Amino acid sequence: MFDVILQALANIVDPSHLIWLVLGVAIGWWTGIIPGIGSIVGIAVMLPFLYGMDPTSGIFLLLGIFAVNNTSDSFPAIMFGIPGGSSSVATIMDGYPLSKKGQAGRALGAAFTASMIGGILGSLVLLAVLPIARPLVLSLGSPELLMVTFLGLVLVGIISRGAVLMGVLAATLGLALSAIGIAPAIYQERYTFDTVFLQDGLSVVVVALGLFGIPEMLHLVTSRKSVARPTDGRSAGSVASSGLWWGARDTVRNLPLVAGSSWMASVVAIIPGIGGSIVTWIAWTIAGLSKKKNKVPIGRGEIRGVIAPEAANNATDGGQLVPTLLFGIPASGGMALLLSGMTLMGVQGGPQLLESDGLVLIVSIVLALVLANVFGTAICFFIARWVSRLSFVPGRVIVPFLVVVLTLAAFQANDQIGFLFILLAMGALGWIFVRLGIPRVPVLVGFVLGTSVERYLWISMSRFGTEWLLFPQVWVVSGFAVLLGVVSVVLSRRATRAEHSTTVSWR
Amino acid sequence: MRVLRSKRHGFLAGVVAAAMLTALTACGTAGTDDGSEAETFYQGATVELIVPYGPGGSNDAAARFLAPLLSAYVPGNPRVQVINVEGGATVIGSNQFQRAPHDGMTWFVGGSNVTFQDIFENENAEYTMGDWTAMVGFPQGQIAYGSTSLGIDSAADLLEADEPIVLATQDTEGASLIHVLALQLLGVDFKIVSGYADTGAKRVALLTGEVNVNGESTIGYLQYGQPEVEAGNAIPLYSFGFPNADGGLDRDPAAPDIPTIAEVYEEIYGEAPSGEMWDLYIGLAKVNSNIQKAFYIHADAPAAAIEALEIGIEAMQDDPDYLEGVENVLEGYQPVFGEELAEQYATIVTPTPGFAEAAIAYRTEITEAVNSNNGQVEGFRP
Repeated sequence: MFDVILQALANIVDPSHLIWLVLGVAIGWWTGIIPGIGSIVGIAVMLPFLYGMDPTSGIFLLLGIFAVNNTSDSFPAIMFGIPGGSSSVATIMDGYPLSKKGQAGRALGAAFTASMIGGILGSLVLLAVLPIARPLVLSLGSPELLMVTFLGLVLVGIISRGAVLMGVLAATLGLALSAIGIAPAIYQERYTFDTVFLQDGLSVVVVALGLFGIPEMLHLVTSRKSVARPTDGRSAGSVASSGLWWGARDTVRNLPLVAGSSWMASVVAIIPGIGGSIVTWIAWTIAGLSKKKNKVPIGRGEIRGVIAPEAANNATDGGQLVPTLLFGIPASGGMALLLSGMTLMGVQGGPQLLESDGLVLIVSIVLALVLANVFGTAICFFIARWVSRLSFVPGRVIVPFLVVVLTLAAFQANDQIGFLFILLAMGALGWIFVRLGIPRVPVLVGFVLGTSVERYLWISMSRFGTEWLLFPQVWVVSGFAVLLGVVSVVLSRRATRAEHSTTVSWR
Repeated sequence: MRVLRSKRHGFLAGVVAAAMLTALTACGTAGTDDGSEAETFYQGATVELIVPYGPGGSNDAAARFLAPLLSAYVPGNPRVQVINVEGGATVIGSNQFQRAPHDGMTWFVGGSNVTFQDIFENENAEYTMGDWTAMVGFPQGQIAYGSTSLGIDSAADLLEADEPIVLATQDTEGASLIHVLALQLLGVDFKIVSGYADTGAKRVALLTGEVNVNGESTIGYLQYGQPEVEAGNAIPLYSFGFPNADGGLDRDPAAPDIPTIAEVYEEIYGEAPSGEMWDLYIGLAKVNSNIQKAFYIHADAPAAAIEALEIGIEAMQDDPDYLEGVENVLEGYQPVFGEELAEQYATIVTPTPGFAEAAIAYRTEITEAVNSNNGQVEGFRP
């Protein structure tokens, strides 16, 4: 193993390869900042250039784009409460309240540092876990995967602390939204209203931008303010620049949380079919559980609520490589492109990647991810000073620009006009939810997990009838889910009795 | 400030004028409907190559493999832009291609799903395969393999397997039907578990023991399935084969050691397969394997355009990038052109009478079985 690592290091340090990694980071950085545009767009744009490139350089280019995305998508989440992608929604929970208190710089600094350290630790754990990666994946059949996804849904109850019933309702709506389109196992059109464009269902970009982006724009414009109001007399500028280092120090002080989140994320991401967003919720929930360390209740601007999900989502990159490369199951759209990019360059996936030459490639990829994380964080720190001041720009100035960006992002996801109407409809829905105090995050969680839950349930019932309910592994995972759910609801009851607020604010 | 404005004004005007001149010249040369002008038809033109799938899939890869080669070898050297138009289960992209002006400036790469939308008479599809001409055909084989838990050495023993047969499919659409049909033809009773998200999920299902028979493209089998065979976790069962001109089934050139379904049938029953359901199989195999994907132009595009394309396609076959791409992207399956392609494509455009009805009826039957009978289906008793 040691000589493999040395060989991989030699690969990385080679300047002709390194330059592609840096280029990838420089390109991918933009795709994270603009809400709704993820690494997929960056990779898709680069795909034509990959053809004919030397495989290692091409892979490094793709990895650069990929890795930095999870760092830079904290920008819109923290600054405007608009998710950059489904894995940055958890960051909004505490990041946006911090931004409203004028601490955007602190939140960003903490997010970036956590992303960097989380990404590094996650990659290292992946290397350690590689030998058991295959047995781990093969021990989980559809019933067990159903339970893991179900765990994600259970977390909804925790997220909507103080309004659990509303949260469940919202999640159910999310599940219903995910049903739109052609059914997974057989041809059955649901809620397509005889249109063609709805046959493939809604995209998470349209739902997320509609639910979170549009109401936020409305609020900014109608409240005639900027996102943040400078507190305690300090000027906008000084809060932004010193805030970054304040946030970075916060992360370093909470290293155990960073380590725990990233290790958990790295291992869970190995499981195929589990998206990157579930781990961010698990991490956020865990951060909320350790009440003694939280100076502010979680969800109201506690910095640990930013650190945990950010560390987790960067750590998933490494873990997601496992199902993608070893089993050919792309863990996300971006990974699918990575896989096809590799094919274009003549690199084959498969179990043989765990032996000899293939192992060097995997280790090189993991180490490249580490480097890309470091570069990405450096760029983000450099730019953050200016970008975080955006949260002090008055609403009437920034909203037109953001609305255009949101519309373009939603349109590029699937370029059918119908989706723009859906975007408006989701926006109206989001606005109504805010007015009524119904949390919107569970809608997104339900939407993201809905298709997977249905698939696994269908396959489990079809294959095993009801016997799968008695499988021991299913009991283990569901037991954990129940435990997490009960503990969190109990803790949240105690928390809401202590706090006096009843309004569920902008969530 | 005013001085600068007028300077910029003048510069802008110059740029606009130059652009207009170029556009007019380009319009002048392209679109002339004269058969002898194949050489100049695509001069300075930009062609859109529509792919009705997202970036990164095998169709997209085939399109991106072709695009630079076509650009280099088609006379006139047009710029070729690959455009992904996803949605509506390929129908949106296919419709967009059909609606584009049939002037030779729009091309298309489509896979078997596109053909099946036509066969299954999807009312949203605004095209038929007869509206298009295939210029390059991409064959691709498929292989079925099973878990060693079946306790058998070859497909001929499937009827005596140690456990009930369970087949994984993604859905009950065109591309999955052939997997079901093959097992039924062998006379096997089995359960279909449908709904797997993608090929990879089916692979893992086989390895975890959730299912014990799985079929996938030969490309995927060679990358992921064969190592499992070598490790003793799986056994190859049969290849789906390539229907040939004599009505028989050729072995898969990329996996020549694996018997075809026809050979396995003969081993079990002592005679070659025949009958209605076998004809249905051959028809499905032509769409799934012989021309699994193709590069199309409108059938009624200007003759000069088609001729230019033919010249380019002929010329590009010696290019080293082409040869390398065939290895990497197409896993060695040689693309089909010219007369051979025309013959094969003709059998898809006008299949044997009754094929479409039989396919639609079969799809309904299997969907019914998955929906209400828990996926249990019976093999055909000869």
